[in-house]
Amino acid sequence: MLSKLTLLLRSFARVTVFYYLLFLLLFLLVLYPTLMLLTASFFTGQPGAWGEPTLEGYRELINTEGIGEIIFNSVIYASARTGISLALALTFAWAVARAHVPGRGLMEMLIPIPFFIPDLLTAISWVMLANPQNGLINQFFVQFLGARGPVVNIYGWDGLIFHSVLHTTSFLYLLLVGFFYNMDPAYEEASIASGATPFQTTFKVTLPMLLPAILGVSILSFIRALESFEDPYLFGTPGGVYVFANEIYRVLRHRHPPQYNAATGLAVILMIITFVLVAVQWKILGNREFTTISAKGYQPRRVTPHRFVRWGIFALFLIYFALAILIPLTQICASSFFKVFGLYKPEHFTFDNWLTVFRDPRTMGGLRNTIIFSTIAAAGVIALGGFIGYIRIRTRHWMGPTLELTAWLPWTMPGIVLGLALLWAWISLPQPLNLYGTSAIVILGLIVNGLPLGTRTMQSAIMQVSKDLEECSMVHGASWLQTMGRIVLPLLRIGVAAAFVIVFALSARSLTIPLLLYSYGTETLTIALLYYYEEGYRNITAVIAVIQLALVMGLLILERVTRPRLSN
Amino acid sequence: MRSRNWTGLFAITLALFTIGSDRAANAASLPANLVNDPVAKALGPEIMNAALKEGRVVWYAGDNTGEFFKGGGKEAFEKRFGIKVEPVTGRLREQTDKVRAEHAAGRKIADVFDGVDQYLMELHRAGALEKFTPPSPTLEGYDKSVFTKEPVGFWTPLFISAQGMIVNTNLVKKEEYPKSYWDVVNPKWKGRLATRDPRSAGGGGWQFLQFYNHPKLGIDYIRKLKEVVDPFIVPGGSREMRDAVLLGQFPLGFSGRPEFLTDVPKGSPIAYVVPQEGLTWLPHSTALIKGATHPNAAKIALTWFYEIQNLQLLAKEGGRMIPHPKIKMPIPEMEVGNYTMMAAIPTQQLADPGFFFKEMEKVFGRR
Repeated sequence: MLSKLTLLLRSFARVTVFYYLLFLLLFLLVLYPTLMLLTASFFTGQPGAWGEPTLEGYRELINTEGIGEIIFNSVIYASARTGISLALALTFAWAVARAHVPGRGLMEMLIPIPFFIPDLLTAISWVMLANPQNGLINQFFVQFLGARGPVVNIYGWDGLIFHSVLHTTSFLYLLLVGFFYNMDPAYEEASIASGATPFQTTFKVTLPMLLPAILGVSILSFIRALESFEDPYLFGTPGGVYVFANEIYRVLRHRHPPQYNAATGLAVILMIITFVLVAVQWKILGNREFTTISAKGYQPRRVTPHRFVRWGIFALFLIYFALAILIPLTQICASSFFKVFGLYKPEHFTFDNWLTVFRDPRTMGGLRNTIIFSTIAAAGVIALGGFIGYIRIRTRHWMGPTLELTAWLPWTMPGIVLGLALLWAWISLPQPLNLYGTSAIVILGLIVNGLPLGTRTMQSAIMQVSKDLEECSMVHGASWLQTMGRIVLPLLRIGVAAAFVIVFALSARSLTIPLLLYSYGTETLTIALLYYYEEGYRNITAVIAVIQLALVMGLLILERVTRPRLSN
Repeated sequence: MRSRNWTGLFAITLALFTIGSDRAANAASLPANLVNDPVAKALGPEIMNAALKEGRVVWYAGDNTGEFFKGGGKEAFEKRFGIKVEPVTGRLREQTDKVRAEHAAGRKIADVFDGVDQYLMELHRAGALEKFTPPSPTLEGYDKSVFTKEPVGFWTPLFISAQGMIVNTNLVKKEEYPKSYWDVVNPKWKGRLATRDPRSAGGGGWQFLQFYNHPKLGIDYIRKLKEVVDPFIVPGGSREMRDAVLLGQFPLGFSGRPEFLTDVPKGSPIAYVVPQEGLTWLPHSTALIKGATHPNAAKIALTWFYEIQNLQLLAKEGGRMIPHPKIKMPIPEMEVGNYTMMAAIPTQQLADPGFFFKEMEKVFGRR
């Protein structure tokens, strides 16, 4: 009896030690860089050299750097982007899930696609199309229609909001459509039975019922807007519009010498704002944000709107499809096959750009690194997220919520801030712990970046496997490890595949994480893309963008193809 | 006493003999093609042998040096010495940050850095540079007056990045080409003049800093320019600037570089103009990184780089102006001697130009 108790206690101690080790790992990955960033904002130095303690960075932000303008711009940008995208996403989600509209199947298939296409790619394509210097649209107007100057200018507020709305609509649609599908139709039926018109029912029953979900995803979208870098950098910076992310980049890369003090100060302020917003969003949305499968099977009731509304929505979808997918992707593919950017004549057709890229060590190394780093990062996130999810869902240990919260912390940190925090953290350690200049620092960055989404995806997958199965296995004499290996993991494979695809795609398209962490030999494809874009090699940029698109879309197709096999 | 003297003498003789025989052995162990190589001779067989053992050198290069390596420089070096050279091109601000971070982390990747002198000053302040001057006779012929003089020996002059103005010849008649920078301070150029950003550390910022220091231009010129013409700040780098003028969005632009003329299809409507106040320019040099992983290979590469045929290739492929009488530029517009050059930016301003960018933010707005 005593020995059994001792064994039990030992086993308990072993398990608890594992929890603490896991927490220690998360501390090193997430909390330590955050604390380093916070500390660095009170010092004058640069990564690796602390300098003197100071409050000058904050003082300068308040007095001369115009932090008020940055906050104001950020709020305007995030609000406009969220507001317009939400209106479009609600329309599309409602049309797909609750209405009879032409092309509904097509809409359902195509609207999610922009979410999976890297923002950087379509952004670069739109810059090529509509920049005032040599944008194709402007060249067309000048050469063929006699315009005397640029007709459209993608730089500034217009371009910034326009492009961000294109991909945010897809993101919000993906989050909202599930709510529309899974809503209990009994209330709507009751409304109709009470004499309300479908229009009244939509606005007085359907939308109010969805209000908490709409509010929750709106805050989520607002946070993503505050954190985004690609759009503000590509459209805002040239047009003189600065929000947090491109301002941090500006003081680091366009000031001489770089002002790390101001950058860390800005990063800390942004982190505080996003942290508060995440807390509010959690409070409102709880665990619902990724719920697309409900326990009950509802048959959603569809309304038939007026034909103007029906065809209006279809026309809106066609415009959206053209702007978000068709035009930018066609343009970027076409550019990759022509000698001179913008001169699409048969005599200028060439494969040279492709040959140049295939011979370019920066791009080929970047492609190789992207595949390796993203694979390791996805595997790492699945392992970490799986453990965290399991502890959170299957045990009542107080460490569960702590681990979950720590894994979620990077959600409050924009990529550029996270990159800066990791740079400070890992460059300050003595050798051999100092990881700067190695692939490990980029991979760790990608793991931390993928952790919130990966953990949540794994948690959802674990939730779907009933605890009874595990108990049943153990009652029949299987050990915990055997149960895991033979019951739980096989049942989790679809969830694992989904988490892998999500984290891989997130890592492969990440620009801000490797931006401050890469060194020679550890460049990723996005770094090569940005380099050639900044240096003005438009056609080479187009080739790399097509390769990146093929990588992400190829993985998505692979996941779709293998899903039935995994289900079996 | 006498016996002790004899012993000492014997020891010294033995030591000298050992050193001499080591040198002879080192020289003898060099591959046959390198025994009489001028670079190997200039640096000595120890360095050459050590370089061969290191086998590679990582060179953080500016775009122009990158073009040189791509245009045959890499192949020539590797064939001659059997040492691999890995040129890593990138934006100089980013390259400088990388070198500084590598220095702080104690993990050296770069062996050689080439860049504009203000970046070298920054790296020198961070203690990231090693004192080394390539023993190359070519250096004696350089016009060193245009390069930063202090601190001597931490970097070596290479070329200058010169800027004047560019003109779209379809939109501007020859008689309208600006003869003085003051000629563009005229309402007729309002909305038609482009510039790179004068508020940041790039081509625009450094050009305007030389306007600022010029006795006939100064801050008054910059303020008037903004007030009368309000030049359009073209986002991006020099290629975007060139395209804006070449495609006719702006007839006239600052930050014009002579190599633009070699970089566009023949017959393109573009001209390079240098007003009477002269060229604005920045010195660009090379340096050895302190504690480099391949220090000997780096010394070989740097010494080799300054051979006349390599500088000539750099002028052709990299397209920058090399102030050396033996180097022939691809086009007359790139010959340094053909223009008046503005006075050099004072060392102190080059090292810490923050005050100037703040001044420019006052004139052009903060962002």
